[in-house]
Amino acid sequence: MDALPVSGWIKDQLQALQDFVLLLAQAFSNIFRRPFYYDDVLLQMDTIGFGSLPIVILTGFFTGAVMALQLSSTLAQYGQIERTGELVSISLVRELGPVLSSLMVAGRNASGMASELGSMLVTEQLDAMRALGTDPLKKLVTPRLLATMIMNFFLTIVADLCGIFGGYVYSALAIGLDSRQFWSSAFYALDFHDLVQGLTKPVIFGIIVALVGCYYGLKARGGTQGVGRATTQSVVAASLLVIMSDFVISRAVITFLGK
Amino acid sequence: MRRGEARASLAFRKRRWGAGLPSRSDLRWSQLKVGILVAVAATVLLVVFFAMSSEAGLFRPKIHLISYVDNAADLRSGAVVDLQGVRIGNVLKVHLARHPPDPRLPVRIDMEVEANHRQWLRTDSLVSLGTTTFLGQALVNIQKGTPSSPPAVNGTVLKAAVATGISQLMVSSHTVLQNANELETRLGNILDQIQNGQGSIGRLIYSDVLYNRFNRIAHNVDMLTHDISSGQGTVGQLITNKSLYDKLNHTLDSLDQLLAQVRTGHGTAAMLINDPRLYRHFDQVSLNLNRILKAVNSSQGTLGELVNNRQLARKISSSVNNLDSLLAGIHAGKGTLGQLANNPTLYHNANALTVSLRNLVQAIRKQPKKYLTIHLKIF
Repeated sequence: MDALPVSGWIKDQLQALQDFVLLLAQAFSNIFRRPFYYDDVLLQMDTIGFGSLPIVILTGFFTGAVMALQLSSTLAQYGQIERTGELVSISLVRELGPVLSSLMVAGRNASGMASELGSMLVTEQLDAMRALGTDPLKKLVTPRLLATMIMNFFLTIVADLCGIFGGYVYSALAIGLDSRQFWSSAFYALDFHDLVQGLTKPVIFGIIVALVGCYYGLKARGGTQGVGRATTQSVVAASLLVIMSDFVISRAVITFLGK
Repeated sequence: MRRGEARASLAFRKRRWGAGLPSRSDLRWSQLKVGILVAVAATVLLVVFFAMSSEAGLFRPKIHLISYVDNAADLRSGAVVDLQGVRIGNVLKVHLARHPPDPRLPVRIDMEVEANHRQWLRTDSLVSLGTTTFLGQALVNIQKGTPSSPPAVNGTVLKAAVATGISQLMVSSHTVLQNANELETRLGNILDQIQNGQGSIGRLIYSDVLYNRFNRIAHNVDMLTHDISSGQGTVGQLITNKSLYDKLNHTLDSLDQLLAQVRTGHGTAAMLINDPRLYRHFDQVSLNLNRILKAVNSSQGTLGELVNNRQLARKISSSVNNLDSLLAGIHAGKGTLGQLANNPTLYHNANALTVSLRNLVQAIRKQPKKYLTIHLKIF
């Protein structure tokens, strides 16, 4: 008797994975099929990108400042305090910038996508769209996917810059580090492997955030309560997948690029 | 229910876009905001990209260099390549070569460095492996070559210097530590022996025999110096007695007078030194002697004949032999001369005759008339 619920749970998970993969395939295939909803993409880019800018800036700035605070005290024990900028820039560009900006975007936009699509689903607006000959995936999911991919890329650059700037502000004011020394060491530490790694991740994270948000929105069941549940689940799942995929991507980049 | 949800959706859209769907102005405003964000982020990315490009020399021409080492020392592809401590490139590949030129150096390092450093990159430049810091990442450091060597070109194989990385340092320090341990053990044994009073140094430190000897020597030296200072003994007299000094002084005065006389030409020695006649005499003698020797050499005169005439020499030799045989016969008592030389009878007879003659003379002197009677008869 106990085997049935477990097998049912496994079946549900496998089916969910299948639906997610199908949604991914359809959303990407819609990018290259007419009609193109440029206005929808632009509006989503505004909502997702520019709308997330304040939290990404604040998150990046204070993360960089905190890193400078923690790292400088540790580096001072080894007499390497002048390398604070180097460590802040490498950490932000490789890991923290993409991950934190993606988590902020997930928290703000995956939930928004899930609630919006879930509301449209439960109010049968999606059915109405289908009745009018509009593909809801093409009209709703693909613009969100494109907008999240593109804007997460640029938001990560902003987050990296703000993070390094936050580290610089703390280093200059609290440690008394020379600005030229900080910025030159910050740039000197970076190489193209770091940029490739740090700018590949936000694109993939954007795909994850957009598709998870849309998936949970499109799978919302049970009226407004179901929409609320889908919203929560989408944030949790998007955050977890971002962090898990971060490990996989980092490992893959180190394997292929050697660093 | 559905009507309520539809109203909620409309309210949501109104909250975002005002009444109804977004207008063209809303779209343009969104477009502007997104454009600004994208432009700022793209600018930052371009600045970083070009900063890194200028730092890494991405668009500068590169040359490919090769080096073989015995141990890669954890060097990886992408590691920094420095020239005199300045970053000029990266490691492309580190691998074990199938056919290294020297079997002792099996690790091949392929490097890509900026070509505009060929002024310093020469074929005799040396490659060494090191680390950025004591525990830092491995890197390749190239020492500049000499201007007389040709510049390195694409594919040049640079010779590897003795490695100075942390691993080599650990290996060498391990040997040093082993030697230091061994030395410490030996020194400990030596110190133990010294503490036990063994060996020369141990006895020197712990035995009082040598001290006592030194003490006696010092005492004797003290007594000796006391005796000398008091004028006892030869050395003491030498130091304290003035008579030796006076004698020496007198001797020197005499010598000085003698030299003065010699200088003024008095006496035999002075004549010997100052008078040129002796020299001339010697010169004349040497000339005469030379002339005689010439005459001898040219077989003139008796001496020349004696020296140069072989026939005469043979005759003399024969005469000498004859004389020798004659003397031998005399010595053997042969013949009259032999008897004269060896037989004492003649000597004794002659001696007796002499005695008789003396007696006769004496008798004649005493009585001349007896013996010297002249009988004159005329017819």
